Amino acid sequence: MNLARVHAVMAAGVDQPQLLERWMADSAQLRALGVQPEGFDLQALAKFAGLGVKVRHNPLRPMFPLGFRLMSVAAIEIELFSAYALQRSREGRAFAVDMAQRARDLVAFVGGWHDPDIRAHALLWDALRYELAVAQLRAQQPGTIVTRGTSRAPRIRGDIALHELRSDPRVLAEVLHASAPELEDVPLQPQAFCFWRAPDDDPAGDTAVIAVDALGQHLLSRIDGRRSAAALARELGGGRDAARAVAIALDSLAAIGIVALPQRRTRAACA
Amino acid sequence: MKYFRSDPARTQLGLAYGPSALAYLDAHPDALDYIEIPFEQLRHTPDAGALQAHIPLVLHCASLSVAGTVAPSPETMHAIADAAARLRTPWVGEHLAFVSAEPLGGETDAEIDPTTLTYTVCPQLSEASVARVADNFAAARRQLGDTPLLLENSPQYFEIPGSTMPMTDFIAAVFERCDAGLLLDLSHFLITCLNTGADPERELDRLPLSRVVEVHISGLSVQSGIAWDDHAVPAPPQVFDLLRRVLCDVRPQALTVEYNWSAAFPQPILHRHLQRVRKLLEAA
Repeated sequence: MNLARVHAVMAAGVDQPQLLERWMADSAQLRALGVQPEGFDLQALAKFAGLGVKVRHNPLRPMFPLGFRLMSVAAIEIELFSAYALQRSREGRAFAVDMAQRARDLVAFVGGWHDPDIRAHALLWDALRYELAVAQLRAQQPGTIVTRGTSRAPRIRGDIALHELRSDPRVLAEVLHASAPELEDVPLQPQAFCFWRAPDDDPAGDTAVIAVDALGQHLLSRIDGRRSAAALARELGGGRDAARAVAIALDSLAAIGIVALPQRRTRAACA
Repeated sequence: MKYFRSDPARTQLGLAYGPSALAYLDAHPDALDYIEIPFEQLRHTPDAGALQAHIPLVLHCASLSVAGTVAPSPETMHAIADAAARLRTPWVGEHLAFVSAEPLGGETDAEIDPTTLTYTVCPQLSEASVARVADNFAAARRQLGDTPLLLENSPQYFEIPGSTMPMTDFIAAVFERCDAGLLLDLSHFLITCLNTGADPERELDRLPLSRVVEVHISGLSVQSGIAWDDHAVPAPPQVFDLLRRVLCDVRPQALTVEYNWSAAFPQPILHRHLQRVRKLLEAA
């Protein structure tokens, strides 16, 4: 087989993996290009395209240390990135030059690609969303971390991101830091998390991971610096029980530092 | 500026350019002899060359497409030669691979640009390919002037259509035709053996080891039924075994540890592996 033809076909297939898909479905197209399909492992070439795409995503490793470590431990990098290469090729989309966009694109792809019944996939989907949320919180300009609203309403201190995951990223991190990680050691059960970046002058420091219950999750999603505690309770049906539950939950969140309570209410809680 | 000075009595130890290498250099400023830097890095971020104020730089390259049928542009060739002269690199290391190829429309279609990849590809292993390498190597040497050109063995992941010889024979044939030094990447070599079912010990004996000037070591990972190059994980024990075996026959001028894909590469492992390499070099 002609050297130039073979190289041209290989390069085109790596560059545009949807061609490999076509050639797998119709080997006559490959033959017409001067390359005999017999003995040409197009599946392996598709995986090689994934290796190249994996390498192009190396700049994202600092943003996704758990995600990349997990992919390596579970040996799914090639499988994932070859599927990603194929998808982008089908869509005719190049990989974003801007790394923040490339990160968002990768997470969006994994959202559609992962099989929730495969433990490594489920863990990866959680890890990437967690790490993207943390990266986005860290990227917030200090000027945007403002506490707006009325002085009579609870407000969020700093910035938060709420996610429902099936694994705790803190447990996953602990497991992945072992020399021989056992992914089975990470329990899988639905859980709501709040990723919180405290204001820059807060001793709480960098981004924290906080597991929250359903009420805490709801309140954190509704606190906007304008709704009072009473209004938040009314949204939950009102009445003495709702007001009491909201008050207890707000106190808990305030004790952690995520929520700032109105001055008067704080005094009442202290009394 | 600091420049690499060859010492026939001593193999110099370096790291491939990357965040983990720079962190290691900060923590151990006297532990390394050089940093191997990709031409492509220098081209896109020329400021990276400022590192030479602290440590010699050795130029590595993935743009010559020395085993390809499409030559690099005159601008690229000139930029490589210019970088080599500026850094006073002892040599330029280039993959025995291709990175550009004719468009599917064929070479007669001047309307379509060649396909240029971001990652080098193992070429067809054939007499035609050997002849092409010899021509490309001669052309590159003319451009590089006094700077030697090393050729680095590629990892082979699958059978390349139209190939007529195994990788070791291909390398041997190329080095018969080219006055090149060998940049022996032991991880690439092991990957090729694993993927083609060849015996590493036997194949190593068939390589032109007397031509080895530089050695690379890095990690590998086995995924989807294939062994892959992986600079984000440590080299496996087999790579160190191969290094010990190579050092029985040859004293390379340089040895580069390539743990450069991950900024989070564990520094303690990097340190331990450099110590391990140093001990092997001292024992040889």
